Amino acid sequence: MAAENKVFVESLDLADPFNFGIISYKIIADTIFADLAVSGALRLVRILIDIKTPFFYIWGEVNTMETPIRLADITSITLADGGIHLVIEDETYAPDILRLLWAQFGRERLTQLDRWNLIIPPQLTSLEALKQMITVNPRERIVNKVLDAFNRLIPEGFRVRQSTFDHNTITIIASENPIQDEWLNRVKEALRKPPSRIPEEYSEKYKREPKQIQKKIVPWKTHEFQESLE
Amino acid sequence: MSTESFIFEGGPHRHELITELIEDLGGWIIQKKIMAQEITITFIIPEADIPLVREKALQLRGSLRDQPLLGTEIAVIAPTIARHHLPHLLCDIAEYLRRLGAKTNMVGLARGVGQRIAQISTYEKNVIEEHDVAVFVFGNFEYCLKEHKWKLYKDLAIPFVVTGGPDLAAVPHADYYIGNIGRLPYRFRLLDEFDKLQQIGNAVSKCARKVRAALEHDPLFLSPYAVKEEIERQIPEIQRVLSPTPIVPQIRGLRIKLPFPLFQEKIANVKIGDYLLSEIAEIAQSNFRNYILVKFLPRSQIAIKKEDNKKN
Repeated sequence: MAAENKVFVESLDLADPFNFGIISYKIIADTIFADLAVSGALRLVRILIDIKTPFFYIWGEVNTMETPIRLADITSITLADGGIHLVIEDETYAPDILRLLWAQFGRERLTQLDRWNLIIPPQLTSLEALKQMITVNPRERIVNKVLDAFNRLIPEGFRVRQSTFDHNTITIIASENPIQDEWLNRVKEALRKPPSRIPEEYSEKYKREPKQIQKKIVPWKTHEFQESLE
Repeated sequence: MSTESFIFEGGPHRHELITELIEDLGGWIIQKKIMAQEITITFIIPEADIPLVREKALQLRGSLRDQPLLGTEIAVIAPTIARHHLPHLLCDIAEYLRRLGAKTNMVGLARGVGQRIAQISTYEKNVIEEHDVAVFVFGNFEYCLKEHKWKLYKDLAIPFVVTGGPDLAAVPHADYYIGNIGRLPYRFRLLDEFDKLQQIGNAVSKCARKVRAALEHDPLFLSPYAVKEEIERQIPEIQRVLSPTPIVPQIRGLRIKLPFPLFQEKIANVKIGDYLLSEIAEIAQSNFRNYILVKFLPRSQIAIKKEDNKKN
Protein backbone atom coordinates (compact mmCIF):
# COMPACT_ATOMS: atom_id res chain seq x y z
CA MET A 1 0.00 0.00 0.00
CA ALA A 2 1.38 3.37 -0.95
CA ALA A 3 2.15 5.91 1.74
CA GLU A 4 -0.64 8.20 0.53
CA ASN A 5 -3.30 5.73 1.62
CA LYS A 6 -1.91 5.34 5.12
CA VAL A 7 -1.62 8.97 6.10
CA PHE A 8 -4.74 10.88 7.09
CA VAL A 9 -4.72 14.55 7.97
CA GLU A 10 -7.90 15.85 9.59
CA SER A 11 -8.97 19.17 10.99
CA LEU A 12 -10.69 19.31 14.36
CA ASP A 13 -12.28 22.60 13.35
CA LEU A 14 -15.42 21.30 11.66
CA ALA A 15 -16.36 24.68 10.22
CA ASP A 16 -13.41 24.57 7.82
CA PRO A 17 -12.26 20.97 7.50
CA PHE A 18 -10.38 21.12 4.18
CA ASN A 19 -8.48 24.40 4.21
CA PHE A 20 -5.11 24.94 2.57
CA GLY A 21 -3.21 24.16 5.77
CA ILE A 22 -4.75 20.69 6.06
CA ILE A 23 -4.18 19.84 2.41
CA SER A 24 -0.60 21.05 2.46
CA TYR A 25 0.18 19.10 5.63
CA LYS A 26 -0.96 15.97 3.81
CA ILE A 27 1.54 16.77 1.04
CA ILE A 28 4.30 17.53 3.57
CA ALA A 29 3.63 14.31 5.50
CA ASP A 30 3.67 12.16 2.36
CA THR A 31 6.93 13.71 1.21
CA ILE A 32 8.66 13.42 4.59
CA PHE A 33 7.68 9.76 5.00
CA ALA A 34 8.89 9.01 1.48
CA ASP A 35 12.15 10.95 2.01
CA LEU A 36 13.01 9.09 5.20
CA ALA A 37 11.90 5.75 3.73
CA VAL A 38 9.62 4.93 6.64
CA SER A 39 6.37 4.49 4.73
CA GLY A 40 6.95 0.73 4.66
CA ALA A 41 7.22 0.66 8.43
CA LEU A 42 4.01 2.58 9.01
CA ARG A 43 0.66 0.89 9.16
CA LEU A 44 -1.51 3.93 9.75
CA VAL A 45 -0.87 7.56 10.62
CA ARG A 46 -3.55 9.99 11.73
CA ILE A 47 -2.75 13.65 12.12
CA LEU A 48 -5.31 15.85 13.88
CA ILE A 49 -4.87 19.57 13.66
CA ASP A 50 -6.66 22.28 15.61
CA ILE A 51 -5.00 25.51 14.56
CA LYS A 52 -7.14 27.82 16.66
CA THR A 53 -6.51 26.31 20.11
CA PRO A 54 -3.76 25.50 18.87
CA PHE A 55 -2.52 21.91 19.00
CA PHE A 56 -1.19 19.26 16.68
CA TYR A 57 -1.72 15.56 17.33
CA ILE A 58 -0.05 12.61 15.61
CA TRP A 59 -1.06 9.01 16.11
CA GLY A 60 1.11 6.47 14.32
CA GLU A 61 0.98 2.69 14.20
CA VAL A 62 4.31 1.06 13.38
CA ASN A 63 4.97 -2.34 11.83
CA THR A 64 7.46 -4.15 14.05
CA MET A 65 7.46 -7.58 12.46
CA GLU A 66 11.22 -8.04 12.31
CA THR A 67 12.88 -9.93 15.17
CA PRO A 68 16.08 -8.62 16.72
CA ILE A 69 19.35 -9.81 15.18
CA ARG A 70 21.51 -11.82 17.58
CA LEU A 71 25.26 -12.21 17.45
CA ALA A 72 24.99 -15.85 16.36
CA ASP A 73 23.08 -14.81 13.21
CA ILE A 74 25.82 -12.67 11.76
CA THR A 75 29.04 -14.14 13.18
CA SER A 76 30.54 -17.56 13.67
CA ILE A 77 31.77 -18.14 17.21
CA THR A 78 34.15 -20.93 18.18
CA LEU A 79 36.18 -21.78 21.23
CA ALA A 80 39.88 -21.92 20.35
CA ASP A 81 43.10 -22.16 22.36
CA GLY A 82 43.71 -18.44 22.80
CA GLY A 83 40.10 -17.60 23.68
CA ILE A 84 36.74 -17.24 21.96
CA HIS A 85 37.26 -16.72 18.25
CA LEU A 86 34.64 -14.52 16.59
CA VAL A 87 34.45 -14.14 12.81
CA ILE A 88 32.21 -11.41 11.37
CA GLU A 89 30.39 -12.90 8.41
CA ASP A 90 28.13 -9.98 7.46
CA GLU A 91 30.32 -6.92 7.42
CA THR A 92 27.41 -4.45 7.20
CA TYR A 93 26.84 -5.09 10.92
CA ALA A 94 30.54 -4.75 11.86
CA PRO A 95 30.16 -1.30 13.49
CA ASP A 96 27.20 -2.53 15.54
CA ILE A 97 29.07 -5.65 16.66
CA LEU A 98 32.16 -3.71 17.67
CA ARG A 99 30.13 -1.07 19.48
CA LEU A 100 28.31 -3.78 21.43
CA LEU A 101 31.43 -5.76 22.36
CA TRP A 102 33.42 -2.69 23.34
CA ALA A 103 30.61 -1.52 25.57
CA GLN A 104 30.25 -4.95 27.11
CA PHE A 105 33.85 -6.03 27.69
CA GLY A 106 36.01 -2.94 27.22
CA ARG A 107 37.96 -2.05 24.12
CA GLU A 108 41.41 -2.91 25.51
CA ARG A 109 40.50 -6.51 26.41
CA LEU A 110 39.54 -7.50 22.88
CA THR A 111 42.14 -8.45 20.32
CA GLN A 112 41.15 -7.48 16.81
CA LEU A 113 43.29 -9.34 14.31
CA ASP A 114 41.88 -7.79 11.14
CA ARG A 115 38.59 -6.53 9.75
CA TRP A 116 36.75 -9.77 10.41
CA ASN A 117 38.52 -11.62 13.24
CA LEU A 118 38.21 -10.93 16.93
CA ILE A 119 39.46 -12.80 19.98
CA ILE A 120 37.65 -12.47 23.29
CA PRO A 121 39.32 -13.78 26.50
CA PRO A 122 37.40 -16.89 27.67
CA GLN A 123 37.07 -15.77 31.27
CA LEU A 124 34.90 -12.79 30.29
CA THR A 125 31.88 -14.66 28.99
CA SER A 126 30.48 -17.98 27.97
CA LEU A 127 29.96 -19.18 24.42
CA GLU A 128 26.19 -19.43 24.80
CA ALA A 129 25.76 -16.02 26.38
CA LEU A 130 27.76 -14.48 23.59
CA LYS A 131 25.64 -16.11 20.90
CA GLN A 132 22.42 -14.79 22.43
CA MET A 133 23.54 -11.14 22.56
CA ILE A 134 21.23 -8.74 20.65
CA THR A 135 23.34 -6.82 18.18
CA VAL A 136 20.73 -4.85 16.28
CA ASN A 137 17.17 -4.16 17.24
CA PRO A 138 15.32 -3.25 14.01
CA ARG A 139 12.36 -2.07 16.01
CA GLU A 140 14.47 0.58 17.72
CA ARG A 141 15.88 1.75 14.42
CA ILE A 142 12.47 2.04 12.82
CA VAL A 143 10.94 3.78 15.80
CA ASN A 144 13.79 6.29 15.84
CA LYS A 145 13.26 6.99 12.15
CA VAL A 146 9.52 7.43 12.64
CA LEU A 147 10.10 9.78 15.56
CA ASP A 148 12.48 11.80 13.41
CA ALA A 149 9.83 12.03 10.71
CA PHE A 150 7.22 13.16 13.23
CA ASN A 151 9.57 15.81 14.59
CA ARG A 152 10.08 17.17 11.12
CA LEU A 153 6.35 17.23 10.58
CA ILE A 154 5.20 19.04 13.72
CA PRO A 155 5.21 22.84 13.29
CA GLU A 156 8.34 24.24 14.84
CA GLY A 157 6.58 26.64 17.18
CA PHE A 158 4.78 23.83 18.99
CA ARG A 159 7.45 23.07 21.53
CA VAL A 160 5.39 21.81 24.46
CA ARG A 161 5.05 18.11 23.74
CA GLN A 162 3.63 15.05 25.38
CA SER A 163 4.31 11.67 23.87
CA THR A 164 3.10 8.21 24.69
CA PHE A 165 4.74 5.10 23.42
CA ASP A 166 2.86 1.81 23.46
CA HIS A 167 3.74 -1.57 22.06
CA ASN A 168 3.55 -0.40 18.46
CA THR A 169 1.80 2.94 18.52
CA ILE A 170 3.42 6.33 18.93
CA THR A 171 1.37 9.39 19.83
CA ILE A 172 2.60 12.93 20.16
CA ILE A 173 0.58 15.96 21.07
CA ALA A 174 2.31 19.29 20.56
CA SER A 175 1.31 22.84 21.29
CA GLU A 176 2.79 26.18 22.25
CA ASN A 177 0.66 26.34 25.42
CA PRO A 178 0.52 23.90 28.34
CA ILE A 179 -1.38 20.80 27.22
CA GLN A 180 -4.83 20.41 28.70
CA ASP A 181 -6.85 17.27 29.38
CA GLU A 182 -9.81 18.69 27.52
CA TRP A 183 -7.82 18.58 24.27
CA LEU A 184 -6.91 14.94 24.84
CA ASN A 185 -10.60 14.14 25.32
CA ARG A 186 -11.43 15.85 22.04
CA VAL A 187 -8.69 13.88 20.33
CA LYS A 188 -9.95 10.61 21.77
CA GLU A 189 -13.41 11.34 20.48
CA ALA A 190 -12.08 12.17 17.04
CA LEU A 191 -9.99 9.00 16.94
CA ARG A 192 -13.09 6.89 17.56
CA LYS A 193 -14.43 7.88 14.16
CA PRO A 194 -12.88 6.21 11.10
CA PRO A 195 -10.19 8.29 9.36
CA SER A 196 -11.56 10.59 6.69
CA ARG A 197 -9.81 11.30 3.43
CA ILE A 198 -9.50 14.77 1.90
CA PRO A 199 -11.96 14.80 -1.03
CA GLU A 200 -10.45 14.93 -4.51
CA GLU A 201 -12.11 18.20 -5.44
CA TYR A 202 -10.21 19.99 -2.67
CA SER A 203 -6.79 18.42 -3.08
CA GLU A 204 -6.79 18.28 -6.89
CA LYS A 205 -5.97 21.96 -7.21
CA TYR A 206 -2.76 21.56 -5.22
CA LYS A 207 -1.45 18.40 -6.87
CA ARG A 208 2.07 18.92 -8.08
CA GLU A 209 2.09 18.13 -11.76
CA PRO A 210 2.99 20.11 -14.88
CA LYS A 211 0.07 22.29 -15.86
CA GLN A 212 -0.56 23.76 -19.25
CA ILE A 213 0.38 27.41 -19.43
CA GLN A 214 -1.04 29.74 -22.07
CA LYS A 215 1.93 32.07 -21.95
CA LYS A 216 4.73 31.83 -24.53
CA ILE A 217 7.89 30.69 -22.78
CA VAL A 218 11.10 32.36 -23.92
CA PRO A 219 14.35 30.46 -23.40
CA TRP A 220 17.00 31.91 -21.12
CA LYS A 221 19.21 33.45 -23.78
CA THR A 222 17.18 34.52 -26.76
CA HIS A 223 17.46 37.61 -28.84
CA GLU A 224 13.80 38.19 -28.23
CA PHE A 225 13.95 41.90 -28.79
CA GLN A 226 15.51 41.62 -32.23
CA GLU A 227 12.24 41.09 -34.05
CA SER A 228 10.80 44.17 -32.44
CA LEU A 229 13.65 46.25 -33.82
CA GLU A 230 13.69 45.02 -37.38
CA MET B 1 17.01 61.39 -13.95
CA SER B 2 15.37 58.06 -13.84
CA THR B 3 17.55 55.14 -14.78
CA GLU B 4 17.02 51.59 -15.98
CA SER B 5 19.27 48.62 -15.35
CA PHE B 6 20.12 45.81 -17.74
CA ILE B 7 22.37 42.84 -18.18
CA PHE B 8 24.11 42.34 -21.52
CA GLU B 9 24.99 38.80 -22.55
CA GLY B 10 27.05 38.16 -25.64
CA GLY B 11 30.51 37.51 -27.02
CA PRO B 12 33.54 39.41 -25.76
CA HIS B 13 34.55 40.40 -29.31
CA ARG B 14 34.22 44.20 -29.65
CA HIS B 15 32.39 44.43 -26.34
CA GLU B 16 34.26 47.66 -25.60
CA LEU B 17 31.87 49.32 -28.06
CA ILE B 18 29.01 48.82 -25.65
CA THR B 19 31.02 49.71 -22.53
CA GLU B 20 32.17 52.94 -24.20
CA LEU B 21 28.62 53.76 -25.21
CA ILE B 22 27.39 53.23 -21.63
CA GLU B 23 30.13 55.48 -20.28
CA ASP B 24 29.37 58.15 -22.89
CA LEU B 25 25.70 58.12 -21.95
CA GLY B 26 26.56 58.73 -18.34
CA GLY B 27 25.66 55.25 -17.16
CA TRP B 28 27.52 52.98 -14.76
CA ILE B 29 28.96 49.57 -15.35
CA ILE B 30 28.35 47.57 -12.20
CA GLN B 31 30.03 44.35 -13.17
CA LYS B 32 31.89 43.00 -16.17
CA LYS B 33 32.65 39.31 -16.34
CA ILE B 34 34.39 37.51 -19.20
CA MET B 35 34.12 33.74 -19.04
CA ALA B 36 35.63 31.97 -22.07
CA GLN B 37 33.51 32.95 -25.06
CA GLU B 38 30.89 34.82 -23.11
CA ILE B 39 30.66 38.18 -21.49
CA THR B 40 28.06 39.51 -19.10
CA ILE B 41 27.91 43.19 -18.31
CA THR B 42 25.51 44.62 -15.75
CA PHE B 43 24.97 48.31 -16.20
CA ILE B 44 22.70 51.25 -15.56
CA ILE B 45 21.73 53.84 -18.17
CA PRO B 46 19.36 56.81 -18.30
CA GLU B 47 15.88 55.76 -19.35
CA ALA B 48 15.88 58.02 -22.41
CA ASP B 49 18.89 56.28 -23.96
CA ILE B 50 17.57 52.72 -23.93
CA PRO B 51 17.02 52.55 -27.74
CA LEU B 52 20.67 53.44 -28.40
CA VAL B 53 21.95 50.64 -26.21
CA ARG B 54 19.44 48.18 -27.62
CA GLU B 55 20.66 48.91 -31.10
CA LYS B 56 24.28 48.50 -30.09
CA ALA B 57 23.50 45.19 -28.39
CA LEU B 58 21.81 44.07 -31.57
CA GLN B 59 24.86 44.99 -33.65
CA LEU B 60 27.02 42.90 -31.32
CA ARG B 61 24.57 39.95 -31.55
CA GLY B 62 24.09 39.97 -27.82
CA SER B 63 20.97 40.03 -25.71
CA LEU B 64 19.66 42.44 -23.13
CA ARG B 65 17.71 41.43 -20.07
CA ASP B 66 15.92 43.67 -17.62
CA GLN B 67 17.35 43.83 -14.10
CA PRO B 68 14.62 45.66 -12.22
CA LEU B 69 16.21 45.06 -8.82
CA LEU B 70 19.80 46.01 -9.60
CA GLY B 71 21.30 48.12 -6.84
CA THR B 72 18.92 46.98 -4.13
CA GLU B 73 19.64 44.91 -1.07
CA ILE B 74 16.79 42.64 -0.06
CA ALA B 75 16.21 40.64 3.11
CA VAL B 76 14.45 37.29 2.70
CA ILE B 77 13.12 36.39 6.13
CA ALA B 78 12.04 33.07 7.60
CA PRO B 79 10.53 32.53 11.07
CA THR B 80 13.63 30.51 12.06
CA ILE B 81 16.45 28.73 10.28
CA ALA B 82 15.25 25.23 11.19
CA ARG B 83 14.66 22.73 8.40
CA HIS B 84 10.92 23.37 8.63
CA HIS B 85 11.47 26.68 6.82
CA LEU B 86 14.75 26.18 5.03
CA PRO B 87 16.14 25.43 2.51
CA HIS B 88 13.69 24.86 -0.31
CA LEU B 89 11.45 27.87 -0.39
CA LEU B 90 13.76 30.51 1.01
CA CYS B 91 16.64 29.57 -1.29
CA ASP B 92 14.37 29.55 -4.33
CA ILE B 93 13.03 33.00 -3.59
CA ALA B 94 16.45 34.45 -2.74
CA GLU B 95 18.00 32.97 -5.87
CA TYR B 96 15.22 34.26 -8.10
CA LEU B 97 15.59 37.76 -6.70
CA ARG B 98 19.32 37.53 -7.38
CA ARG B 99 18.54 36.77 -11.00
CA LEU B 100 16.58 39.99 -11.12
CA GLY B 101 19.73 41.83 -10.05
CA ALA B 102 19.22 42.17 -6.30
CA LYS B 103 21.70 41.39 -3.57
CA THR B 104 19.79 39.21 -1.15
CA ASN B 105 20.49 38.30 2.43
CA MET B 106 18.63 35.49 4.17
CA VAL B 107 17.56 36.37 7.67
CA GLY B 108 16.32 33.80 10.16
CA LEU B 109 14.53 35.23 13.17
CA ALA B 110 15.22 33.75 16.59
CA ARG B 111 11.59 33.42 17.74
CA GLY B 112 9.41 33.98 14.71
CA VAL B 113 7.59 30.64 15.04
CA GLY B 114 4.22 29.85 16.52
CA GLN B 115 1.21 32.03 17.21
CA ARG B 116 1.25 33.54 20.70
CA ILE B 117 5.01 33.09 21.03
CA ALA B 118 5.96 34.73 17.72
CA GLN B 119 8.08 37.81 18.30
CA ILE B 120 10.75 39.97 16.73
CA SER B 121 13.46 41.79 18.67
CA THR B 122 14.65 45.35 18.15
CA TYR B 123 18.02 44.08 17.02
CA GLU B 124 16.41 41.90 14.36
CA LYS B 125 14.25 44.81 13.27
CA ASN B 126 17.34 47.00 12.94
CA VAL B 127 19.09 44.35 10.86
CA ILE B 128 16.09 44.10 8.54
CA GLU B 129 15.69 47.86 8.26
CA GLU B 130 19.21 48.17 6.88
CA HIS B 131 17.85 46.66 3.68
CA ASP B 132 15.76 48.33 1.00
CA VAL B 133 12.95 45.79 0.82
CA ALA B 134 12.03 42.74 2.95
CA VAL B 135 10.29 39.51 1.92
CA PHE B 136 8.60 37.52 4.70
CA VAL B 137 8.09 33.84 3.99
CA PHE B 138 5.35 32.35 6.15
CA GLY B 139 3.49 29.06 6.42
CA ASN B 140 0.28 27.37 5.47
CA PHE B 141 -2.45 28.32 7.91
CA GLU B 142 -4.83 31.16 7.18
CA TYR B 143 -5.62 31.63 10.86
CA CYS B 144 -1.94 32.20 11.76
CA LEU B 145 -1.42 34.68 8.94
CA LYS B 146 -4.54 36.67 9.74
CA GLU B 147 -4.38 36.68 13.52
CA HIS B 148 -0.80 36.35 14.64
CA LYS B 149 2.02 36.73 12.14
CA TRP B 150 1.49 40.43 11.52
CA LYS B 151 3.21 41.08 14.85
CA LEU B 152 6.50 40.36 13.09
CA TYR B 153 6.24 42.95 10.34
CA LYS B 154 3.75 45.57 11.46
CA ASP B 155 6.25 48.17 12.71
CA LEU B 156 8.84 47.86 9.94
CA ALA B 157 9.93 51.14 8.39
CA ILE B 158 10.83 49.65 4.99
CA PRO B 159 8.36 48.29 2.42
CA PHE B 160 7.88 44.54 2.47
CA VAL B 161 6.18 41.62 0.72
CA VAL B 162 4.49 38.79 2.62
CA THR B 163 4.17 35.30 1.13
CA GLY B 164 2.18 32.42 2.52
CA GLY B 165 0.18 29.32 1.74
CA PRO B 166 -3.52 30.20 1.52
CA ASP B 167 -4.88 32.04 -1.47
CA LEU B 168 -5.93 35.28 0.21
CA ALA B 169 -6.44 38.72 -1.28
CA ALA B 170 -4.50 40.40 1.53
CA VAL B 171 -3.19 39.92 5.05
CA PRO B 172 -3.40 42.55 7.80
CA HIS B 173 -0.92 45.43 7.78
CA ALA B 174 0.79 44.31 4.55
CA ASP B 175 0.64 46.04 1.17
CA TYR B 176 1.61 43.00 -0.84
CA TYR B 177 0.64 39.40 -0.24
CA ILE B 178 1.50 36.50 -2.56
CA GLY B 179 -0.42 33.30 -1.81
CA ASN B 180 -0.15 29.64 -2.81
CA ILE B 181 3.42 29.24 -1.59
CA GLY B 182 3.60 28.39 2.12
CA ARG B 183 5.71 25.66 3.68
CA LEU B 184 6.69 23.27 0.92
CA PRO B 185 8.78 20.11 1.08
CA TYR B 186 10.29 20.47 -2.42
CA ARG B 187 12.14 22.88 -4.72
CA PHE B 188 10.38 24.91 -7.37
CA ARG B 189 10.81 23.23 -10.74
CA LEU B 190 7.56 23.62 -12.68
CA LEU B 191 6.66 26.56 -14.87
CA ASP B 192 3.63 27.61 -12.85
CA GLU B 193 5.83 27.61 -9.77
CA PHE B 194 8.26 29.96 -11.50
CA ASP B 195 5.26 32.19 -12.18
CA LYS B 196 4.83 32.47 -8.42
CA LEU B 197 8.47 33.53 -8.06
CA GLN B 198 7.98 36.09 -10.79
CA GLN B 199 4.98 37.45 -8.86
CA ILE B 200 7.20 37.90 -5.81
CA GLY B 201 9.81 39.59 -8.02
CA ASN B 202 7.19 41.97 -9.40
CA ALA B 203 5.92 42.86 -5.94
CA VAL B 204 9.47 43.46 -4.71
CA SER B 205 10.27 45.68 -7.68
CA LYS B 206 7.07 47.63 -6.99
CA CYS B 207 8.35 48.16 -3.43
CA ALA B 208 11.76 49.25 -4.73
CA ARG B 209 10.08 51.67 -7.13
CA LYS B 210 8.14 53.10 -4.20
CA VAL B 211 11.38 53.81 -2.34
CA ARG B 212 12.91 55.40 -5.44
CA ALA B 213 9.79 57.49 -6.10
CA ALA B 214 9.90 58.79 -2.54
CA LEU B 215 13.51 59.80 -3.12
CA GLU B 216 12.69 61.73 -6.26
CA HIS B 217 11.04 64.56 -4.36
CA ASP B 218 14.31 65.27 -2.62
CA PRO B 219 16.98 63.37 -4.54
CA LEU B 220 20.33 62.17 -3.30
CA PHE B 221 23.38 64.28 -3.96
CA LEU B 222 25.03 61.51 -5.96
CA SER B 223 24.20 58.03 -7.15
CA PRO B 224 25.50 55.29 -4.82
CA TYR B 225 27.42 53.86 -7.79
CA ALA B 226 29.45 57.04 -8.24
CA VAL B 227 30.37 56.99 -4.56
CA LYS B 228 31.17 53.31 -4.78
CA GLU B 229 33.65 53.92 -7.60
CA GLU B 230 35.22 56.77 -5.68
CA ILE B 231 35.64 54.64 -2.54
CA GLU B 232 37.21 51.84 -4.57
CA ARG B 233 39.66 54.33 -6.05
CA GLN B 234 40.62 56.01 -2.77
CA ILE B 235 40.69 53.05 -0.38
CA PRO B 236 42.92 50.31 -1.82
CA GLU B 237 42.24 47.97 1.15
CA ILE B 238 38.84 47.22 -0.34
CA GLN B 239 40.54 44.97 -2.87
CA ARG B 240 41.74 42.69 -0.10
CA VAL B 241 38.23 42.00 1.19
CA LEU B 242 37.32 38.39 0.45
CA SER B 243 33.54 38.85 0.15
CA PRO B 244 32.22 38.58 -3.41
CA THR B 245 30.74 42.07 -3.19
CA PRO B 246 32.95 44.21 -0.94
CA ILE B 247 30.68 47.22 -1.45
CA VAL B 248 26.98 46.53 -1.68
CA PRO B 249 25.01 49.32 -3.36
CA GLN B 250 21.60 50.07 -1.90
CA ILE B 251 18.94 52.49 -3.08
CA ARG B 252 19.89 55.18 -0.57
CA GLY B 253 23.25 54.05 0.68
CA LEU B 254 26.11 51.58 0.67
CA ARG B 255 27.25 48.72 2.83
CA ILE B 256 31.03 48.55 2.95
CA LYS B 257 32.49 45.29 4.19
CA LEU B 258 35.42 46.75 6.10
CA PRO B 259 35.71 46.80 9.92
CA PHE B 260 34.08 49.93 11.28
CA PRO B 261 36.55 50.84 14.08
CA LEU B 262 39.57 50.69 11.74
CA PHE B 263 38.15 52.35 8.64
CA GLN B 264 35.63 54.80 10.03
CA GLU B 265 37.97 57.78 9.66
CA LYS B 266 39.18 56.80 6.22
CA ILE B 267 35.67 56.37 4.86
CA ALA B 268 34.54 59.66 6.37
CA ASN B 269 37.41 61.44 4.63
CA VAL B 270 36.81 60.05 1.15
CA LYS B 271 36.73 63.05 -1.19
CA ILE B 272 33.78 63.35 -3.52
CA GLY B 273 34.05 66.49 -5.61
CA ASP B 274 34.18 69.44 -3.21
CA TYR B 275 32.73 67.40 -0.37
CA LEU B 276 33.92 64.82 2.09
CA LEU B 277 31.78 61.70 2.37
CA SER B 278 30.90 62.55 5.98
CA GLU B 279 29.34 65.80 4.75
CA ILE B 280 26.94 64.15 2.34
CA ALA B 281 26.19 60.96 4.26
CA GLU B 282 25.74 59.43 7.67
CA ILE B 283 28.35 56.82 8.44
CA ALA B 284 27.38 54.23 11.03
CA GLN B 285 28.25 50.75 12.15
CA SER B 286 26.12 48.08 10.55
CA ASN B 287 24.29 45.50 12.63
CA PHE B 288 25.86 42.85 10.42
CA ARG B 289 29.21 42.02 12.01
CA ASN B 290 31.04 45.34 12.11
CA TYR B 291 30.57 46.45 8.55
CA ILE B 292 30.19 50.10 7.67
CA LEU B 293 26.79 51.42 6.68
CA VAL B 294 26.66 54.63 4.65
CA LYS B 295 23.29 56.39 4.34
CA PHE B 296 23.28 59.33 1.93
CA LEU B 297 21.58 62.54 2.90
CA PRO B 298 19.13 64.17 0.50
CA ARG B 299 20.08 67.49 -1.08
CA SER B 300 17.94 69.58 1.25
CA GLN B 301 19.66 68.18 4.32
CA ILE B 302 23.10 68.76 2.86
CA ALA B 303 22.19 72.40 2.26
CA ILE B 304 21.01 72.76 5.87
CA LYS B 305 24.18 71.13 7.15
CA LYS B 306 26.30 73.50 5.08
CA GLU B 307 24.57 76.55 6.52
CA ASP B 308 24.97 75.20 10.03
CA ASN B 309 28.68 74.76 9.46
CA LYS B 310 28.99 78.35 8.19
CA LYS B 311 27.25 79.70 11.32
CA ASN B 312 29.60 77.79 13.56
